[in-house]
Amino acid sequence: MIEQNLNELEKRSIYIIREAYSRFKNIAALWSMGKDSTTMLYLARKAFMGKVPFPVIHIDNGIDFPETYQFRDELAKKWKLNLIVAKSKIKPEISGFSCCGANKTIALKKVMKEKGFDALIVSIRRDEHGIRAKERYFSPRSKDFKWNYKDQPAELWDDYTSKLDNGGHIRVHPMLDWNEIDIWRYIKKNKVPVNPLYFSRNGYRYRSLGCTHCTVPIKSNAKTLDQIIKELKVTNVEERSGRQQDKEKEYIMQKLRAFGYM
Amino acid sequence: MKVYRVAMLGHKDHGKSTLIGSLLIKTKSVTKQRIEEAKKASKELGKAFEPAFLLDSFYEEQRNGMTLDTTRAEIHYKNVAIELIDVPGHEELIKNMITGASYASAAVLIISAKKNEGIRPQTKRHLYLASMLGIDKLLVAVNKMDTVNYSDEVFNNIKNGIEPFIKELNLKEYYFVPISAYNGENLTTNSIHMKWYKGKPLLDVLLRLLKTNKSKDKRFIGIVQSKIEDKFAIHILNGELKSNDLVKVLPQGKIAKVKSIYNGLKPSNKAKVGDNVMISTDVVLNRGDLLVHKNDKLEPVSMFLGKIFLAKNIDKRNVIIRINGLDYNAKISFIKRIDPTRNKELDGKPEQLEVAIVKVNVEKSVAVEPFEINKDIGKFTIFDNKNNFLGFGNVLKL
Ligand SMILES: Nc1nc2c(ncn2[C@@H]2O[C@H](COP(=O)(O)OP(=O)(O)O)[C@@H](O)[C@H]2O)c(=O)[nH]1
Repeated sequence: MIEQNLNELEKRSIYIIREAYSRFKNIAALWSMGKDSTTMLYLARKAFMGKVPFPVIHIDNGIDFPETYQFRDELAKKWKLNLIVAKSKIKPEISGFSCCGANKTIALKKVMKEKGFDALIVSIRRDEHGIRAKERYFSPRSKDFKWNYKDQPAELWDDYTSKLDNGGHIRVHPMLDWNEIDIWRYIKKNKVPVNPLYFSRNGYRYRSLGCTHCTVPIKSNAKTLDQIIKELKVTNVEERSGRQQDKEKEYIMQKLRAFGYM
Repeated sequence: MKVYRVAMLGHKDHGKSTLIGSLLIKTKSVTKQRIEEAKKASKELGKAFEPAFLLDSFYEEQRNGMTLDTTRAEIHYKNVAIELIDVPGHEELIKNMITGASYASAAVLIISAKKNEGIRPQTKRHLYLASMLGIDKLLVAVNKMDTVNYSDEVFNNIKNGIEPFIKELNLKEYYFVPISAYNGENLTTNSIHMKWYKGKPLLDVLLRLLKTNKSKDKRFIGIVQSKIEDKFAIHILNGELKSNDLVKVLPQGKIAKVKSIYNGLKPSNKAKVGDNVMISTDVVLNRGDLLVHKNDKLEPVSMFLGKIFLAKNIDKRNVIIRINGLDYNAKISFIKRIDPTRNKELDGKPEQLEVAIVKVNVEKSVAVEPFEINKDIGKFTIFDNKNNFLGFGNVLKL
């Protein structure tokens, strides 16, 4: 059952990535070096005989973890990625919890404009947050990156909208159907490279990765992929204690912050 | 785990959210904490516990910035994960209803047995749309049985009332299950109040429905997504492809030899339905081309009869239709006007939310087949020249 499910997810994602690649003139993908966007790149390699055919953007505010930079450089080399590092400045007036969001948006807008990208692959998952429930696989954004979720195009069967006349771009979401646990199961099955920060050190691990300023680790002893999967299985079905619930909230806030610039 | 996707259909207030809420509870797919919150919310409003609040609390969460889905809820039952797609019932949201339902292969249609509720026009419109979208598995849940003393007579009246409509729509596999979504009766265990019902509880019927596999034919159909260097990205819609196969390329009409197949990161000599492969051939392929076996009878046409659903009024005959991933200029001529809530022919010009039989003239030839025979290549969507969605259709006859 799990096997069958991972196959289905993989097939659908590859189909979407290929549709996007053939439909847009100038597409790029965001890569945070986290598990979701790394899995997406793995799928893109599978879609195109081992080579990712589009540029991969890292919005870099200069304060990511050292492990993250190392992971980026090693994998970019190994997978021969066309990596674009878009430097985002840390402005003192935008700091604290909104730092990732606001600063990164500026950097992303700049690089989108400079390179003229008309579509952007973003590895969000529907289970991350309620507001994701309404995202389409191809979701239009306006010129100023606004998402008009109240009036989205119809998306029938396997046919996605790729036309835009508002000067905006399309967000492509090939990972929308994946749950957190699906990602880990897939990583395990396919030996997808993982940023080491996800594994427990001294009783803590990162469940979601942002920059050093806004990412908080959760209490966990999961040191291997199997242990992470086991941990998530329990979190999914059992009642959460108050503390874990707080952790849960924190995790979601992190995610949102990290994606604030979306 | 989203192998199974089920659209939840039905008239507003017949109990869709309540059913989803109760299923989440019965299958323990939601945390106790969340149930407590829903209980509290019910109490604050001076109500007995409302399972629907579980879903409504999702809406709240959404506003307050917390997890979980509104339009899609996942339940886990007997080791199977089922994604329930809640589609909006409002007419102005029909575009979203169509989008949501088109993801599903099966549907649960909810009809309330309560006095003055029963079968409504919207019940039938949803059913009609489901059949046009290709949903061919249906579970009709006759809800609120508690309000009619769990009467088999009321149940049978509803069953007999809607069954002819289901048959007219050619929905081949369907079941009826009497339930009380509110009381959680007959959802995961048989109800002591309805001993007259001899079938299984709702979720078991749903599982059976989802698990039956139609014997798939082996006929090969592939669609070209794009050209990448000297190779072609093919999505296999049906059947199997092997290297050295000779395939007919449509609408071009040429015969091509499949020289090599790449499946994922490795060369391979075979690919099957659902696979996304790269192939090399001796013929140049274009996006939207269909590949079939060289002796396949499929031929391109530039005119066909179709059945369309009008999400909006179609005022101009000139439209854009999207078939097999490509946009074409086309002219449509109305032949018949149909009221989908009665499946009855009407006089005059078809309007928004109605169905029409049309003749479609396409600027170029396209490879299509009647939807009844082949869902993969028997459907199309309709836009105006500003890319506004006008509706969708099924190919009826070539
Ligand atoms: N007595 C009774 N009331 C029900 C049942 N199911 C739903 N209801 C009530 O019907 C109303 C509408 O239900 P809701 O789930 O919101 O309908 P929806 O609009 O189809 O999602 C609510 O007041 C529910 O409590 C049932 O099985 N029995």
